[in-house]
Amino acid sequence: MNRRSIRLLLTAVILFGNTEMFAQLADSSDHWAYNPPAQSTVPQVSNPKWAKNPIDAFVFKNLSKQKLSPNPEADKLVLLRRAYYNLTGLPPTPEQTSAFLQDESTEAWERLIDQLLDSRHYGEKWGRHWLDVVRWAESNGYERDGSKRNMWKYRDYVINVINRDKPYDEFIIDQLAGDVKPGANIESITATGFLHLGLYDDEPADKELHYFDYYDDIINTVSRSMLATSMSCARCHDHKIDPISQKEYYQFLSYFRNLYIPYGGRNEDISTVSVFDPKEEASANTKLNGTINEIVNIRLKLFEAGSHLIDQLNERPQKTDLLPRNLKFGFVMDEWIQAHSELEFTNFLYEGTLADNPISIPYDLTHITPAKSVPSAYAITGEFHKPKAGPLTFKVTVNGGAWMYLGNQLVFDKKGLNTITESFTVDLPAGTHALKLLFSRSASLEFNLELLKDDKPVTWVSTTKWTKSKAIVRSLMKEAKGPASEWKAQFDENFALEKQVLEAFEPLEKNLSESLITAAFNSGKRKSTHLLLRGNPHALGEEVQPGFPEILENQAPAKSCMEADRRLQIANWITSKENPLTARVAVNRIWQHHFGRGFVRSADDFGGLGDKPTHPELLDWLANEYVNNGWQMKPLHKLIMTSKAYKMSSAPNDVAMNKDPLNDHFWRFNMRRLTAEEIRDSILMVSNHFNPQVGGPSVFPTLQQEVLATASRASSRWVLDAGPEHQNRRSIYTFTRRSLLDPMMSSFDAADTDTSCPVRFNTTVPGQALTMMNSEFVADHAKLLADRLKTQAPENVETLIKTGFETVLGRQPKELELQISIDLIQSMQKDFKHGYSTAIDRFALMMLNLNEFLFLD
Amino acid sequence: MKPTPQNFCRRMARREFISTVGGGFSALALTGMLGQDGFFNSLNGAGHKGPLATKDPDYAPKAKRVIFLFMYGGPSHIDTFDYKPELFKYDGRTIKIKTFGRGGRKNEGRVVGPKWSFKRYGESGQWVSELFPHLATCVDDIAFIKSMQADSPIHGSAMLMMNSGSIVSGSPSLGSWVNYGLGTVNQDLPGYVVMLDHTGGPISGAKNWSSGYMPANFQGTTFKSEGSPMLNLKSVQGLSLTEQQKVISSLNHLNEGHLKSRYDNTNLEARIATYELAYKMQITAPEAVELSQESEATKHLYGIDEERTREFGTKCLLARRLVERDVRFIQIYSGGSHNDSNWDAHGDLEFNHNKHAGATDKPIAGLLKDLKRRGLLEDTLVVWGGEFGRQPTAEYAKGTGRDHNSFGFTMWMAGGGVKGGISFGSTDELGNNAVENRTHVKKLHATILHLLGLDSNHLTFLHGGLEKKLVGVEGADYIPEIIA
Repeated sequence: MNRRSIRLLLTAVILFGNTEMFAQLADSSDHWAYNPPAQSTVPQVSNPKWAKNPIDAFVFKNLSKQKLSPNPEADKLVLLRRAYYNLTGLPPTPEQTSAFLQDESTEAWERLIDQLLDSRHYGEKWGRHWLDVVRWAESNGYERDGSKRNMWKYRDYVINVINRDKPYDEFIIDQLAGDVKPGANIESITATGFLHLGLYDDEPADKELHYFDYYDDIINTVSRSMLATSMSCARCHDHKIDPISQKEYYQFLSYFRNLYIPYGGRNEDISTVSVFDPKEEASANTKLNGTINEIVNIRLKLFEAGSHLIDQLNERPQKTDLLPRNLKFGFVMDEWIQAHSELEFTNFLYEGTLADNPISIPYDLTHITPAKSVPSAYAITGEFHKPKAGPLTFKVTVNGGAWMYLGNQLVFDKKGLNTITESFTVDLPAGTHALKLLFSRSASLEFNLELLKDDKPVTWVSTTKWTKSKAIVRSLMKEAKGPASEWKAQFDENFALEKQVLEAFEPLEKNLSESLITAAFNSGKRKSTHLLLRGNPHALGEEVQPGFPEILENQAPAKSCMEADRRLQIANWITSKENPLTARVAVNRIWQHHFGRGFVRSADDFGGLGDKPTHPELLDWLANEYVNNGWQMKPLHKLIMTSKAYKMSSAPNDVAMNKDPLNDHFWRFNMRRLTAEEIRDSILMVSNHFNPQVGGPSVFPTLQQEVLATASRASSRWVLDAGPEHQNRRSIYTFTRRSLLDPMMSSFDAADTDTSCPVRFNTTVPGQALTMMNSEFVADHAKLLADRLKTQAPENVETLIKTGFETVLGRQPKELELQISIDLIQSMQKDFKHGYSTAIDRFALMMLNLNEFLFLD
Repeated sequence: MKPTPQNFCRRMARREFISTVGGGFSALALTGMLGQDGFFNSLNGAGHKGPLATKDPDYAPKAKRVIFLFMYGGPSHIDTFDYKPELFKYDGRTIKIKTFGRGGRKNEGRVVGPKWSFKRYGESGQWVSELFPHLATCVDDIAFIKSMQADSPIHGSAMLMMNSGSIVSGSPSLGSWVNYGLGTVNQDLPGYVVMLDHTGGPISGAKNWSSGYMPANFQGTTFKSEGSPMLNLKSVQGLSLTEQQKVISSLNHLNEGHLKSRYDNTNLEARIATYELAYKMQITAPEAVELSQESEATKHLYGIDEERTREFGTKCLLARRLVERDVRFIQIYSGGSHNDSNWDAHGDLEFNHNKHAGATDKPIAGLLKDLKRRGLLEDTLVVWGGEFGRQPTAEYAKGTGRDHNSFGFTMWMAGGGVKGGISFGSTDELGNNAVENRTHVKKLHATILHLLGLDSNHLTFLHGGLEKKLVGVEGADYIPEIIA
């Protein structure tokens, strides 16, 4: 027993005072999950039918040992629906059903599986499983819950590569290090959106805590979804159960330390980059930057000319000794915050002069692109004449960064994202003093500088909107006469030019907006990582170096590539064949979504608090197969689905239920309820209003007024998409706003959006019944289903009911079912005085509420 | 109890783990977990109890239910209940003071004297400002906590902290924990009801009553005081109740046929039973909001006959009716949307607080009096407060607006086993920082759970490899001093 085990044992005793726990943990370093998968051989079994598929051999051997017999094969319709939902999340159409039921050939089943694996809806179904574990959402959470408007590209990445069966190791590397891996491309960069799917508080109370919460969210998601390890439990102290020390948590964190993490910006679209196809990237960037420069240049000329024109056109020029004079300005497109102290006016995009008037600065000269945040800064110099020595009082309002020098004194120095108003007094001797003003902000700027004279403010500088300042000059030019022709010529010429260039910019802008991706990138110089005492970001402990958890380190690759990017290193480590967890976690999840539970039920926790695998040999065998066959899912699906184990019926068997009530040994197939998405999508299918379009920006289907009313500003949170084509897209394409989720989805246990969801809940509550009976969505589609039936079977009520059963359940009604349905329709007409049409609406509503529609055998 | 092979959540195994480890976990959490796993007990042979079935508390509770009056935006404690005579004197003077709010950290500021005068009320002599003339008559039933502290002075995270104990989104809210711990007595009504302001939801919307990492059945249900009270309570196809009954009876008939060969699947059975419950809810919920059953005198007590108190008064009266029907946790928001639609008085303090205090004073007093005369106050805990308080200094160069303050603020509780007529803890002489008996939000949560008979340090839910608690990893103790 090593020292770590002893420490753990002590923890166990202290925590639980329990010797049984003590005994359980005694061998924690030999815990199954930390050892490489065993090279298990396929067992020999006596029953030849159960020997063909290796999976069956493992399952059958286990059942025999328990003296349990496997259930017989389920009937064809059950298998058909099982396969359709399992691989596409959709029911088969009546046509698909009858085609399969009539196909008597021995290859029918295999052909069906191949066909479903090729379906483009396969990626939507299995992509959704992945979205569950990566805390999928398209907004930031918190007060503004701003949109991540490009996140759908990540969702499409997941769907597309799963459809293509991209190997899982590459899939993981893409998401952790797709921007820095060799051969990075648009696809792999898009995948790094994974790192920014989480919550983002745009107004955090504590900056450092904000960063470390962000890291923790990433560590929690990565460790649970890829390694089934609850790393986050070691953020504040050593893990209480698993052999993960607090130091190892911070070593793990250091791999992500250089990731750019947004802070404070209230823009939508955090961590957004513009990525072009490499072939066009250089030219696109050059063109884009060139055009932006050109437009800004034109506007600066207009700004300069305008300043002088206002001076000359204005009938009441505000010439006063209380204003600075000899004003010059410089403009730079850069987030010029560090540079202010140097005061070197170099590298300006433009330098010009300003008239001796109150300066009105257009803050939005660079608001041209959809990114809207080309950072920019102004510098203004001039002089101020002071006839007598004495104090001067100023008042500044600023949102952004601003610095003011008077004489050579720095008299104002502020940088912040909130609006600040401050007054200050400067003592100055008589004479002329140099004035230097600098201000910058990445998004927009608010700046107001006033000199207070006898308590009356004299404005020196204020900010305006570009369109407004242009309009003022235009209107003055119309009214006044005799302006200086030089400035007027400059103004007129550039006014026309601006319009022209903006028009030419439109296609570029579109191109640019399409190139935006929420993605990861590294920021600046390498930051050190410290252990944080009790997890407090202000209590730095020892500095730590990158390193993998010791318990897994024996199997880790040598740390020889320290020069490579750290995120790439950890991605390579996670996906190395020697990592004992990764492949097991992946195949466990695949099995989970075929059989309703993983071999390890706690799919995100293979540690001491997690469950033990019910079939460790099979888990290991599948993990090895998976890796040896290039980490591809589709061959595994096929292997699983062609097994007898998969095709078993779910019927009860009293003997087996007594011995193995939880079906630990897979003596039968597990029944399941449809997921929230499957319920909604199936309703769309049977009402015949399903829009099969794959991919693209997320849609905003109707939410009930009561639901919108829960938002503080519904209008900006949910912009309804008109048109049925948006209403009837698959559920995976509905915009996922953290603070405004579709209650139908939540009520049927859709995945949590804030943390990784390994296993969905399975609740049965009255709210679900209310949704299925009364909600607008279900009622509308029940009516559409009724309309469909009325059209398809206009002859008589019996045919209609039969068509209804075929459409919704894929089968003919039994005699009693037919009678119950007829009775309902008749009662609606007789007892409730409805017409035939309404009576059928009620029948359709009932059909959508059937357990058989919502549950799979 | 029949096992349910349809449940694959790891919590199945948790149960075994708990029984192995024993004493370290409360039987309560165990019951909760079984509930989620869909183990439906047969009750009186007449249906099923769902995950919200009643559960026994840890020890004898003093309170059975909670009404949380959430003053969204952050009411100013120093203008309402925390009397600071010094503050009047400093009015208008710029002083050195460390504050932290929306405008960041500041080291000095211009003091804004309280805009309302204070008087002592009741036998206990509690201080209340002119903002609450009606509530002032109830102080002998109220315990004021004048030393509250929260982790964030920013609405988004502070709201989450007050509602879910954490500034990070994703944790279940207090009402979810209460229903998880105790279940709900009335199966025909939601166990956790939220009533929003007419101007809209608070920021972060449903996150404030979310069940976080717990199943969605523990989340709050929004209730309206006008029209149909709950989402999907009325058929949009216009099915009458009797008609619906017919549809459900046909449905049940078919579902029972389906069940025959799947007799072991309790989820199927449970789903059949939910239609019965849903049906009952459609009768019970509209009846619960039927205020015409109330006398004019009662309506007057709540201020429903006056324009400015009508909205909030109606919600308070509704809360009482829900309490009578054993709804476990009710939250009412005063204020919604943004800016002066709630208590967030950044600009004109007088305008803002006159408006919101004016709209809520009489209704809250009415609620306390009504609960008391009906003997309900004894076991109904009423909690009042916002996500934080406000600074003693002005936010802007001009005006009376105050920025947020999470260093010190006031909340109060009444009924449900709380001592009346006391003030616990205090802030410094300017009301900026809690100095005596500092009470973190977690302590407030622990106290609420304690009064309900739940030990906050043992009420846990396994998530992400950790036994999560409302009061966080480190836990929190309740405030014995305010408990009767």
